[in-house]
Amino acid sequence: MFNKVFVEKDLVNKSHTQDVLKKIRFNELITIDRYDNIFEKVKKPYLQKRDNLNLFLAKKRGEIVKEAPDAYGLGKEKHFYFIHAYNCIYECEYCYLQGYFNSPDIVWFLNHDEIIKKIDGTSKTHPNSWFHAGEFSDSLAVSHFTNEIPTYHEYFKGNSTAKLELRTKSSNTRALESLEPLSNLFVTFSLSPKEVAKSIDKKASPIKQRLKAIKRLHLLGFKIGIHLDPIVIENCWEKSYQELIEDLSNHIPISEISFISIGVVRFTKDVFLQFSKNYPSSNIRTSTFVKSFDNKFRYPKPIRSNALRLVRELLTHYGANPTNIYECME
Amino acid sequence: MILLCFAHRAEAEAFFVEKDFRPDNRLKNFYKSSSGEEFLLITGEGPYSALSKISSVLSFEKTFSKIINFGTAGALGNQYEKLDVFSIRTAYLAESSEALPQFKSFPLQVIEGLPKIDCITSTQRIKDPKLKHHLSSFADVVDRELWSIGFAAKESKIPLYAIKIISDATEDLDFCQDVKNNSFKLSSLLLKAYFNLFTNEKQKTKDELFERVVSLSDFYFSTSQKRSLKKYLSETEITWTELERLIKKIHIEENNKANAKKLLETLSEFSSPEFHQLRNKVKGFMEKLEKSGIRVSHDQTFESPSLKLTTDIKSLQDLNCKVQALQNFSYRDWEDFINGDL
Repeated sequence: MFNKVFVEKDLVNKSHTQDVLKKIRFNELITIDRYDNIFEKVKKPYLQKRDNLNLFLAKKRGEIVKEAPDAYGLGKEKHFYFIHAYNCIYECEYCYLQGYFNSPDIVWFLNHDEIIKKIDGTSKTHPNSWFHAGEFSDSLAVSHFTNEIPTYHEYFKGNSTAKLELRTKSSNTRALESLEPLSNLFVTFSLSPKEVAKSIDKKASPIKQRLKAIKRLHLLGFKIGIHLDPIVIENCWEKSYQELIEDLSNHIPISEISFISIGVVRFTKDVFLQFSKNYPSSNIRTSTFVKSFDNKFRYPKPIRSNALRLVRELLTHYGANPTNIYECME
Repeated sequence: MILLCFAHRAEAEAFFVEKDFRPDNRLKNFYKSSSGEEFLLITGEGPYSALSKISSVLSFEKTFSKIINFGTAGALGNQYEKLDVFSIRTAYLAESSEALPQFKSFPLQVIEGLPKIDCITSTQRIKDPKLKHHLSSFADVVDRELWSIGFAAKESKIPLYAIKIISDATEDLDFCQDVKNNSFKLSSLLLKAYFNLFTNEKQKTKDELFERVVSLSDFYFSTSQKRSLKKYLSETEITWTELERLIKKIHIEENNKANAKKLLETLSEFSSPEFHQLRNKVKGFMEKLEKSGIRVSHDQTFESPSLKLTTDIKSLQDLNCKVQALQNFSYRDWEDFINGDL
């Protein structure tokens, strides 16, 4: 799975580190002082994640909890995201990480107690806030290796005013299934029409598997959120979304989804350059794109507003409460 | 034409034997094959010498379709054995006696059929095992010139390939002498890899497709149209068969410029049907205003519904005609269109 695994020397003898090392496959183990002496020191091409992916087991220093940008979540509460990992094992063509970090190598931060301490401090200053995992990495995909979910579950169980969102494109719900559902824990799944997901959500769980995972967790009593983001306009996209939402409604009553975000595919300039280089034959047809209100590259407003309206109408038609739908980053 | 680069003449020896390379008087250590299809450059050892030499060549000879760097490299890990041959995936740089890695890197074209590894070019010869271990965090092998060739190739937008042969393993300290003693063997293996991997390449490149289109006798492309054509060919990954199908759909006129315009419009639709549809809608909105002589420009990004109208009034009748056209124009429909009512 990994070529080299770099472990910070202060962590190498910790039991959590050893547990992780036992579960993963790699070619070479190297002990280092600090991950940031190596990670991003050279510009490593993004697509090397396919055949030369390294892993760092490290301690997160500096800013651990960050305020999310506007239009990030539902409601007027404050939204924060916390950083427990950098980079992802999946390879979604539109992923902003390809232009965000200068390396596709993965960093798993293992100082979860310190991360929780920061969440706790922020939560005390800003009660009723949301804390999102999965900004820089999928929050469930490798949770059976990293095994941090019970630690976060424990904290949020005792702090019901703070809300936790675990955002994923995986169907790996093993870590959650043995835990009790919480009123402030939301497991959210990003979905696209199955053919689109097959072509652009490379290596992520197929939509069929994600839908099954949604059903599984919903039946166990977990709160579910859905991200219909990014919407990609391709041939017959309206029909594909109609089928997706109908399929979703066969796995969970749409009215019982806690919130649904909708957003159209978009790129910052850096990500756009990387995307164009990495995926020149992508099904995401960017020749339509214009520089929009926040300098991100998007479909022209008439096209994206039409798409958002149509998806919103479909969702309400299938029973979604309109107040639970929000437009992400629009 | 292809440029073959080597740091040392000894590494290129088998190439000199196999092919009839003659000095090209424009630069010392620069050679041209008798067929005129291949050039060979000896860059000298070290990234500064290589950068200087290759930049000189690329400044006066601009016809290369690819550059291939051949050479020896030192292994940074124990998994590599002497005489193993690799295609390099990324070129990194380490500077100074401490071998400090530099941020800038250059991805290379990889060669199918060879294992892929990464190479770090060092400004110093790396003999110290500690430095080898340090560099192994970033790359698999170390050489003395590839990063510089990558830099120059990128500036000139020429695809770069590199074939490296392992000349010394991690524990070898006297590798310089070993390389000297085995130079012809190493060079022959590089030549063999070159013959196997490059001489039968038949795949049509995008540039070849482009050349084929612009040479069609019914079409004349201006410089900006050529740019658009390149853009569409690159965006769509279209094949010649598909392109032929699109060309057959065009109603060919006597005017070659008009034919080129039609082909570009067809390619635009092929590359992005939604945008094409959007433009047709805009055309529909503006048609009557334009017909009455009012020029309309809109926000090209479609973020705002604002319109800019310009016109000249030539007579009272002309004024009335334009006022009528404006009264018939529904700004509300335009606003709804911008807001997604398609």
